[in-house]
Amino acid sequence: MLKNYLKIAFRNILRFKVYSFVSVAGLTIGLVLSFLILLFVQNELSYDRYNKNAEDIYRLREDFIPNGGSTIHTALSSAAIGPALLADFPEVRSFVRFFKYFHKAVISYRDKNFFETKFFFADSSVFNIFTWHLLEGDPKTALTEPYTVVITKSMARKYFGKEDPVGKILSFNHWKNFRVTGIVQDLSPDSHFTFNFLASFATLKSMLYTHGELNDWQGNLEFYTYLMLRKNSSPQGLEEQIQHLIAEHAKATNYRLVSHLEPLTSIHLHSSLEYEIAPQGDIAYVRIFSVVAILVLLIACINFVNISTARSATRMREVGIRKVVGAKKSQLIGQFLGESVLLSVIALVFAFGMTEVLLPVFNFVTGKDLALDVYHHLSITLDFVGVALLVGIIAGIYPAFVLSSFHPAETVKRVAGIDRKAVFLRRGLVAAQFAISIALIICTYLIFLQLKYTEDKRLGFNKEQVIVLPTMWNHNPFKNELLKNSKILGVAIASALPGKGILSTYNVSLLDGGAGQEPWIIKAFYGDFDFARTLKLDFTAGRDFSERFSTDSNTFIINEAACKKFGFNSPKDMIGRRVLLAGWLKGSVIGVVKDFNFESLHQRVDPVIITPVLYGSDEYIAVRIAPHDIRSTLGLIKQEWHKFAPDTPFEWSFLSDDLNALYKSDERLATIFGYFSSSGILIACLGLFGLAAFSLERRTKEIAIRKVHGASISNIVFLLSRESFWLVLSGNIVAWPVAYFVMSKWLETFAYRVSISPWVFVTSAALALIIASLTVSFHAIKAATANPVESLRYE
Amino acid sequence: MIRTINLKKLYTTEEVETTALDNVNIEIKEKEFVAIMGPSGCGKSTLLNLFGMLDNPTDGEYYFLNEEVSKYTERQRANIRKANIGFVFQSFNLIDELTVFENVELPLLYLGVSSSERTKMVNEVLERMQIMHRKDHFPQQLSGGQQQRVAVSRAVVAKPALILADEPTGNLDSANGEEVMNILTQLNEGGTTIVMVTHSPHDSEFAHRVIHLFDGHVVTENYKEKFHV
Repeated sequence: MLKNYLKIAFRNILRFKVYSFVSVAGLTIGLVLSFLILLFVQNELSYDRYNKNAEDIYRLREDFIPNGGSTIHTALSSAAIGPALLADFPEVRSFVRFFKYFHKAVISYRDKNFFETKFFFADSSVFNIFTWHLLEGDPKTALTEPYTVVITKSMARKYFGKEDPVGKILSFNHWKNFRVTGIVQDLSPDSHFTFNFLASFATLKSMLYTHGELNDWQGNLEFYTYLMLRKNSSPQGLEEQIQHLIAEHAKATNYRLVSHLEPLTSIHLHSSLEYEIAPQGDIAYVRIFSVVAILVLLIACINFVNISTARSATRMREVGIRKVVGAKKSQLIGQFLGESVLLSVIALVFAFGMTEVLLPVFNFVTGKDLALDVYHHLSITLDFVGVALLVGIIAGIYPAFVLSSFHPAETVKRVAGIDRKAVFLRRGLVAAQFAISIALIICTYLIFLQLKYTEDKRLGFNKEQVIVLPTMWNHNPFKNELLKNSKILGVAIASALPGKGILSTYNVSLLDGGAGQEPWIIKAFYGDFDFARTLKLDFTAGRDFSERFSTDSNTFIINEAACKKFGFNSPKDMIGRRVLLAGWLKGSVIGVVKDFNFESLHQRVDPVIITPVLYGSDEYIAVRIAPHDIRSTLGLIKQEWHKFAPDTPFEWSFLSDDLNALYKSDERLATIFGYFSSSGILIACLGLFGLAAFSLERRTKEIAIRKVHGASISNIVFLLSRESFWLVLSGNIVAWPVAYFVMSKWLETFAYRVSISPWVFVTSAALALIIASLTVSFHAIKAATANPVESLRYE
Repeated sequence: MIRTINLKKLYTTEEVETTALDNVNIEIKEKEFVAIMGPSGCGKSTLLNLFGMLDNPTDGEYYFLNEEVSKYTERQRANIRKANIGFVFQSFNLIDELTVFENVELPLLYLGVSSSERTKMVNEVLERMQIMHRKDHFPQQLSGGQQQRVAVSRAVVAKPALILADEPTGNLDSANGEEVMNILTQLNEGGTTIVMVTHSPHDSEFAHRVIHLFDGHVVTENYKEKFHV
């Protein structure tokens, strides 16, 4: 019997090639997309869980709350807390502090020089807390002595090739030497941060910090502290006790510190803090992607069910005949269920294959390294087998039970009869498919508009044709040499540039009294005299720094936001005011510039102060070049670079690229949404295509009669398209408010954003309508241009 | 009104080619009532479909109102059809989703007749066919005879010059059949040309002329005295 069912099922699938294709293709696409997203989501959720003690590891971080200012949520903590906790609290089993060397460091071995960014310092307990496997060296002692370093396997290969690195010396910025004491397996990419070099924390005492700074409780929030707690200890209770401890030690009066314990496993998705140890993911994206994947899968399932039930209506006669010749109800149910389950299983098999094929593309888009491994992802695999079977059963149940319950005479007579309830349900489902697709189109459209906006918005400076270089030991001769060339329009040295580096925060107050006397926190950075003109900042009052005024080295330029914060609405009133920065730097404001977007447009422009005084904190060299012949200009810069810094690699970037990098996750969102909405609409159209075919089959007689009585081709096309028109329109009614709500939420994450124009909705609706009409008109025109007698003959 | 010269129709399927009509030469004058008879499969319905421009001949010429239409496109044929020809089918071919009124209204709709004019014309013809009381019913709610009266109403509502009837009484009992034949006769007397395909010798009695088809050929044509050419 089973063999018979399978035979019939296969024959039916082959006989109705188009419908089989439409159902299988739709379900396959839906399964593939949700499969990919599920892999992505599972990966995002698995961050740091490879650590054996993952559940017991917490990061201790502190919020910085200036008096009268807004809280700065940092990922950092003071260095003194960790050792104190281990000594005082029995529930703390161990702690490790990381210090991140935020700048680029030149690491050298013999004649090999590279810029390295992932250089960290850590306590020797690090390998006890994190499950990072040492290939060589002793995890207990590798980082106990000053000037020792553990490097990753790939770094070992990069610097030492086939040599054994252990015991060899690496030079840091041609300044300090580190002895390699261990090689660690490259960190899993599923970590909330990765390092290439891990130097001993003991080094810091003699290299970058004083003993006092490392025992400071209240300032120097520059360390990442991780605690390993004993099993079953309460992090909430500990958090309170730590807070008491901090309050005891930190005696500063103009700000408070509030400590928090973050579970290690939630850092990647739930932590979006200032001074994060590495860029983190966002649970919001994981949620959005999951919802979208479920929606696309839903569209695909609806499609599958719809087409199966629609097709069943044309099979009433077959059912009747089977009954007449003795089929039992259960046998018919078995047959229909078998057919639709077979189809869904075929879709599942294709989906597995296509996922495998598409994974490299998906990895490229998401920047991940996912692999489909049935054993590894057994639960996902089983979920999908379950989904496919369920869809097959749901799709088969309606025809199975409804058709098999008719009396044979009835079914034979009711050829292609109309079950009004079923038709209504089917239409509703198609409208739902379109609602989802249209909502996705609108979202995609708005995301692209916003990204375009971030690209085009006037940022308050000119980001084009600016080359960014790291600073060098003696940058002034290099700068002067460059400026001799006519293609170099300006060179500026700064501690930070838009999209790069970190703005430090300092206390600031007006010296002359007045409203701004109370000190508040401002973002400050070092920029030399050429900074404003090289980046082309717009002055609204006052003037730029100038060599002509000998006093200018003691002056400031501020932005309009700072001007307002000082309590002056007119920038002119700010000129000449004397300001106290960081408690010791006194000077007057000589210029006010328009607000410029130093960070991404997600952030509002904060008050900023530029000073040429914090000499020595220079990090970057910005070179404005002529727009033509960029390649030869770059060659020239490189030549000069090697002349002045022979031991330092030449690494450069465009300022505009650095800025675009700030929107990487937004771009990823846009790309994924783009894929999803186009797949959604594709599946919905496949469904519409299939349903239109069925609707035509059912209406061939009606069409013929109408044609016989004078209906023109356009009459018929209109008649047949009208239904899909209404379906798409009603889909819009549902989609619009949902898309509006979701997108206003997303746009709220941008301080500077596009407004949601009604045209976005109208355009998306029109697009869906056009695509739907094209889909239906294929059938409609075919039916309308056929000889009416052909339709009547099939009656 | 209708003239065919060497009309030929082949049906081609994947494996076989069937000749439905071969060398058919027929002329039908205006105001004539012609019956076409012959055994099943002799090509009667095919011929009627060609007359009604529901299909194109494979070969030969077909003059409708002195116009050669055999090579016309479906669009051109539809235009001639809707202005000049009414159809009555054995299986009524009413649209299930439309009421009696709406079914009858259909040809007027496609002729672009105004709404008030349509109502007037439809009511008039429903009145004449004595089916007015069921005008808001759906076809499934009517008896066979009533359905065929609706179909005839629809065929005549636009006042076509030609009515093509394909076994109009085939699905009816004798009383209802008689009634339909009387209606057709009345229409013919009112000046409408009628071409009717039938199996029934009784029905053919109503016609002026009977054309016998056999295997796609015209075999005999019998004139009655009733109509003088």
